[in-house]
Amino acid sequence: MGTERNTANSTPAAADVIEQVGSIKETGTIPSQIHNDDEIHQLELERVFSDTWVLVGHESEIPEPGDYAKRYIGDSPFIFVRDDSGDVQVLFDSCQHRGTTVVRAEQGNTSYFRCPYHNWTYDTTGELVGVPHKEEFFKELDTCEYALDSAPQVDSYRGLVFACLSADAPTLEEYLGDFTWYLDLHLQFADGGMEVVGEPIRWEIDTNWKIGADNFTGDSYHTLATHKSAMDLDIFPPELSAAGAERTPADITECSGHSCMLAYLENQEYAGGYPEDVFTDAHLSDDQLRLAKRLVSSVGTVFPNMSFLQMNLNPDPENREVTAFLNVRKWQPVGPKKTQVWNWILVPQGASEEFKQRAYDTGIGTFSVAGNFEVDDFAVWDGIAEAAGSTFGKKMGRESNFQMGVGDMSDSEEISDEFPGPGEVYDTNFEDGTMQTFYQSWYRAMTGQDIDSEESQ
Amino acid sequence: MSDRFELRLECEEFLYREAELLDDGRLHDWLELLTDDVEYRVPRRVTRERGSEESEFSDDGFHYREDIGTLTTRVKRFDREYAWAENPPSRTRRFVSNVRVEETSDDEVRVKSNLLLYRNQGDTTESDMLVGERHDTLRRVDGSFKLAQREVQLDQTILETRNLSFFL
Repeated sequence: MGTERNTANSTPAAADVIEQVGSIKETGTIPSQIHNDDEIHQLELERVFSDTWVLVGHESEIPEPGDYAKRYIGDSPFIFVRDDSGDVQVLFDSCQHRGTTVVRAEQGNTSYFRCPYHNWTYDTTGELVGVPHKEEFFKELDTCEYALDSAPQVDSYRGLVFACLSADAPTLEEYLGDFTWYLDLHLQFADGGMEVVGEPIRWEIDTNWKIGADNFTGDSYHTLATHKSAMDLDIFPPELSAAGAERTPADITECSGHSCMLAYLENQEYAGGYPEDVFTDAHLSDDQLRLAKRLVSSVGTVFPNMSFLQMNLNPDPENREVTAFLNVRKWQPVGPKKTQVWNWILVPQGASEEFKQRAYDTGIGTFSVAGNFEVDDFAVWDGIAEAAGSTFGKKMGRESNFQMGVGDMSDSEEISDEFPGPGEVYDTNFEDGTMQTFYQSWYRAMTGQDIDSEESQ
Repeated sequence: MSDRFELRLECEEFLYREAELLDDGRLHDWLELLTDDVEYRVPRRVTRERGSEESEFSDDGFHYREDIGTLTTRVKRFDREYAWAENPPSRTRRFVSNVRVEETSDDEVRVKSNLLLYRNQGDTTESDMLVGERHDTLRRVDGSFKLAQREVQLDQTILETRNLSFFL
């Protein structure tokens, strides 16, 4: 009765899909399936988010002893708290008794954390300091052994606090490696550093966390299409934009496993986004300061899910001035097709209140849940996950293309020798090497390697 | 009818008319309902412990903090074919209720109302629901009301929407 259907053409196994990503430097493509797959999502939580350094928050969010905020690493809940002696702790939010979460609010100030189940009580360092009726029912309990678990590694860089859930992983200093040269352009140009304004804006988008993270390594190509309406209205002044002739571009790939893009005004001493008087030569090299003052646009991702963006933008070109701000972003994986976005706006601590407010308004007016730029991204990114998770897409081996500008695709040239900063640097913002670096790091993290290792295929 | 009753009716008529313009996508007409010095804010709401002395509504964290210039720029952007967030356009329906006149002066009325905003977009059965309380100041300009201040206090801390490409 008729011919048998070929049933061999089934959905590829997760391990094979992951392995394909390891060839990205040769192929310039990845299987789209990694952008919406239950098994890969679970493996990411166990590998990527357990073995790498993940952003927790900024020290300025918890300035006083007892200040705390609830945060997540992958799907694991943590308490980000400044303890009574002023040190920052990242404690697993799970009572040592029966395991429920002890923090009830998003943030606040407290002298202790009291579990709502049986009222075991912990101080701000996580020590167990109270067990109701201990002398009657828990006589032999050694409270010293029941402190809240600390994240295995916690460290900070220029105010940004990270944690790593593996004690064996490289230190934060080793993990960020040479990439700190670029982070410093945004975090160290002003006396007093940067501070967070307000609480992080949080919302959820129906796409995979990697879509935002790869986009923020430097997708200048999409700016001309997705953000055409914002460009047309001069929210991003055209002379500063990717289409602008005046700016000098650089894409930074292969920088300790991280990557970014930047653009600056070579022929102007000062690009004008931040107040000139906040710049200091105290913390940057001459090359860094020269670049920091001239920056008009920079976007990057610290693998896996912290991104940053600094741009000179204007939410009301007819009446306002072009203003810079620093946007720090966390793409928290909630499901294979669900990401919670955490969005912080940072400003120079020493700037005037007028500037800080203007910078904040520029930030949320362009890059946030109601941002004139970003609302359009969220309308597009859903579709990537939708098609990536579809049966036909998986069976046919649908691929995402990251070949733009790489190798013979364009006339761009490597300028690593001339450029003052580290990494493999190219003289364009139109190349996908920054994204290839991201997915190479992802492959390494998924296969148990350090993201900066040379052992990849 | 008492003056107070009439005043509330007048406020309600303004708010219903305004909601109609927003639901119908007549954003340029909506801008005409705003004063030149309008302050439009949607503060970040923060989950706090019961009894916390701090307000749940942030003083310095916002989803929107706009004036007439930034609002006008936003409206002009939505006119563009490439404003993908609203292409295809959202289908929104605003239910404005529980209108309460709080305070009146010579030319201004402070009025609170509840907002339930339904949004559906594209080929999906999923929808966004945004609920909150509006704190508005309406001002009489040339005999009719205009919106001089709006603060929308939402009932969500983590927004249940992929983007706010519409006004509340």
